[in-house]
Amino acid sequence: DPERAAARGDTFSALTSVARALAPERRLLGLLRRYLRGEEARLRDLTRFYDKVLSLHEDSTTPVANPLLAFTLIKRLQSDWRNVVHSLEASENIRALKDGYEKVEQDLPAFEDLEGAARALMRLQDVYMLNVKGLARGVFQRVTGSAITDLYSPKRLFSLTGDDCFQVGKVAYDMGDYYHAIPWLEEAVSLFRGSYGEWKTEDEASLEDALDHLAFAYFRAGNVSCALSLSREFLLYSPDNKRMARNVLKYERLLAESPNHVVAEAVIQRPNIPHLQTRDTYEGLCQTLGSQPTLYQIPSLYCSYETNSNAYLLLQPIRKEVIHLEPYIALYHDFVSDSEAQKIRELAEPWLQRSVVASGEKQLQVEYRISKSAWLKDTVDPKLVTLNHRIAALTGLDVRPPYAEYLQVVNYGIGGHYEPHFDHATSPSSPLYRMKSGNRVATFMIYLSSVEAGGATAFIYANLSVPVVRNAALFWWNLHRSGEGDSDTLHAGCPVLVGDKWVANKWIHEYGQEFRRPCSSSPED
Amino acid sequence: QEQGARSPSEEPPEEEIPKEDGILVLSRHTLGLALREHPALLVEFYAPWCGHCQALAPEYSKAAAVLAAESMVVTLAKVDGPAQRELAEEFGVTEYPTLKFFRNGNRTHPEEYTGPRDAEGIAEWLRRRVGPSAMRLEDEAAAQALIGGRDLVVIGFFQDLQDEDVATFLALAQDALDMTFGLTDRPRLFQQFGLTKDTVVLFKKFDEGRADFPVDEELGLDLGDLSRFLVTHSMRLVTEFNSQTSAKIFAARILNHLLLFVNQTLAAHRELLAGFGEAAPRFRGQVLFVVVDVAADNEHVLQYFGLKAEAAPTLRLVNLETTKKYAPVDGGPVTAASITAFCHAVLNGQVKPYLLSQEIPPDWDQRPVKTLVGKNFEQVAFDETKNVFVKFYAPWCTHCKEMAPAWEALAEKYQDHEDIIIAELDATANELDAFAVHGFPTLKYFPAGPGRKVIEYKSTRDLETFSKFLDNGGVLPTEEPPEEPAAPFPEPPANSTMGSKEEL
Repeated sequence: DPERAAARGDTFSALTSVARALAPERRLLGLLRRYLRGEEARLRDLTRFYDKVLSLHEDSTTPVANPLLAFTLIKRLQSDWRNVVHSLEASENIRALKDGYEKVEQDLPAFEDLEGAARALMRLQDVYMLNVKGLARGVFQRVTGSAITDLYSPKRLFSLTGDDCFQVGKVAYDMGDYYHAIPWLEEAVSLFRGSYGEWKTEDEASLEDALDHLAFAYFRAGNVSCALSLSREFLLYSPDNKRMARNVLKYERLLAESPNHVVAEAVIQRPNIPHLQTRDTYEGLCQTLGSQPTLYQIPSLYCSYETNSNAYLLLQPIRKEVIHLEPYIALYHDFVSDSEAQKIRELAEPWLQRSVVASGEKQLQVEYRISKSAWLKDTVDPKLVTLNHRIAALTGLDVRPPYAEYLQVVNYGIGGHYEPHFDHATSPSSPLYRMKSGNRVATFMIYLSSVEAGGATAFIYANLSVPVVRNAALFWWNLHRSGEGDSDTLHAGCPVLVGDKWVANKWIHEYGQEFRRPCSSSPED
Repeated sequence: QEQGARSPSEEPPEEEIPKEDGILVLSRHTLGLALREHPALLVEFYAPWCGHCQALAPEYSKAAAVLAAESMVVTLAKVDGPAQRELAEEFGVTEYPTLKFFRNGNRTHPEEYTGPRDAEGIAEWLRRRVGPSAMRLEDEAAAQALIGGRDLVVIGFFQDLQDEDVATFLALAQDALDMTFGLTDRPRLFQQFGLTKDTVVLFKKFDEGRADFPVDEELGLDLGDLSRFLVTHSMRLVTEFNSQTSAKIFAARILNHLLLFVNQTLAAHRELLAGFGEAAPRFRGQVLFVVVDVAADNEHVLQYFGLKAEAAPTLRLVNLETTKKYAPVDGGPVTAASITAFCHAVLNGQVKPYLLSQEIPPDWDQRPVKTLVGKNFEQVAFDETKNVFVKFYAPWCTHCKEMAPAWEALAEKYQDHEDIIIAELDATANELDAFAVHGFPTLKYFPAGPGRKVIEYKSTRDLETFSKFLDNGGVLPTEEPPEEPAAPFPEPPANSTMGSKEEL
């Protein structure tokens, strides 16, 4: 089933899909439990046989002169032992386990999911400057020089194993990304050293694998001395490996020829993403724990109860927080209730698909947008009609189709994010114009959940970030009054460090708003 | 020679007015001609760079085509505002698009377009102005057909159709697009509907079914009075609050709203609606009866009134002008009699408005920042021996949270000053009689001494500036003017809920 196979590769891109992956593992647990019980029964029977035979041998007073004992000895050697050694029960147990696994296999994540999840961890590592040693121990710490900042402290620490760290490092290694490969493989080597000699069925890699990859990664990073010492350590565990022995000779020769290699160790650079020109600003804003700390000092930024002089809101004013003036950004607290947020999430979940971006004339899945989304028409539930009325009352804009898009509900995955982008179309060929109602004049984004850490909305040129506030809605104008795009609305969804982030977007278009938000006298306004 | 023929060059020749997509393209040279030639002229002032004007253009052209197909005597035109700056200034155009309707060449008093932005809306708005806004009714069959056609039908009964009152009636009909209008002078119809003098009758398919507005024989028909009458009586006696009905509820401009909070899923609560409806007629025009279903999506309304859903059934009366809220004193049953008594008591000023207040915490004055609530605010803030600096905050406001450390530091700095108190009050849970708080954080300074003086702090919200303000006795030194002299938040205009229009 190619469609299903394609869907399997997107588990990592939405936490609701990750959560759904718990079900097949529970089935696997059931299979394993049945297998274990079968094996335990089989081994109990084998132990019974062993004990029986041993007792006969330990009874030295029993001579083979007894014709009954003599017969059973001959029978055991001719028949019983053959049945024990060639028993089919073991293969039947393992066959049942394998058959059960094959039935579940179609529901398991694909290798692309493992890659996606590993890259997500690296994204979190980069954006939040997380220390890999800390991550391996289950803590989320930023280390800059000697300063340690705890971004998030789980109640129960969950440590990674050597094989876990190896898999992350190998994904980076296979991408030629040694900046990330080295620290993760370092952790893998360290953890494997500590548990050397222990056998774990589930592990795919070993200490030798980790040493092998780490040595080569250091070599490619220009650190030959580390490569050499790691390769020598490898030979301590696998003295007969000829390829590694040849590598040792090569590294020794390289060091002999260029002694400066020791001191000329190049600091490996983090891979640069060419399209992310605002990376440093974006990541700085994502690291900020909440809004800019001095925003509160500005007298023109305030909170109030807002009715927008609209009848519907006079008896239920909405809590408004003005966050920024140019561009205008406002946060409306408690815009939805808990039950409304839950309802929207439930309505959207069966329809979630990998989110795309408008690029040129196409809509593409991209690395810089990791989430799944679903579109909800107003007609699917009366709660959505009420929600639309509330948005219209608060903004004064016409939010009926086709003047606004359907509600887009988004669930973010592991390290789910949306790198800096505009919501409005920036070229006439954009697919946003297919609605034939103009560009996206405004964005109304509702936070449908809270998160423990990360997930803020960063405005790059406005130099501020808005943390996730559950049940609140964020509003901003994408266009100037003249209809020109406001480039100061470049914004991003920061990676979710810990938590399950859901948002709902209502994008309001130009048409239908001519008398609600007319142009001023000046094209610059 | 003084009587000689006038030179041709003295007067420029009249231009032909160009057209685009059925729309006249006007300039300052041609507007006068267009006004003379087209007795009904709708002019759109646009800017070429304006995205909204580009969006409106196809609808505007379509409206012109629709009206032309109907042979309506109305013309649509447009003016490039930035290019025709004199015209834009003459008509006070500051936004694009702006639409103005010129009648009979009257250049000095065009009517502002207030209709919808789609083609059919534009066409209908114009039809009401250039065609009949009310249908002439000659017999009962026509009248009954009109009455049966819609929920709300207004028929004007006038013995003399040339009377000024008829013009007033037709003017109102032009804008009330949600009602159907009829007009008659037939004596038989007067008799059929039991009328003996000029009357405007509202026929409706609910409540009493009909409401009569007799025309005052001496003063004639007043547009505002008729408009209010129609709005008031087009409302149902009891309205359930939801997003569809709320616009109508508040368009009535009835200041007092009596809210009955019920859980409509419970039969015992639904039984109360009869009594509620029974009490409503005698307060029509004074009190609007509104049902709020606590089982629907009305959490925000409950929150605003400081209620929980379990409080239902209960009554609250709110005055939209003062935003004061009133609650019944006793917890008696909700009946027609108790509702009537409560309404009378409020209207006669016998019930005091209730103000939200938290309880005074036992340790309210133990920490550097004093905790004020509704119940202790007066005695602390207006203590004539103290200079009191109060932060009015909302617990949900991020700006208030982030300001808290500076406020704590300020309080600690002045803790040993016996005449200075730094305090805070949750303005979302404590309402004050002295004044209303509209923005958060609001910082107010209450200087010592008589007169209940209040000084609003509007400068930068940081410790250093706060200290200068306090050290200077509530004034900031002039050599360092405030960075943001503008008001921190807009004050709501007086009667903002009323809107500026007197008519529908």
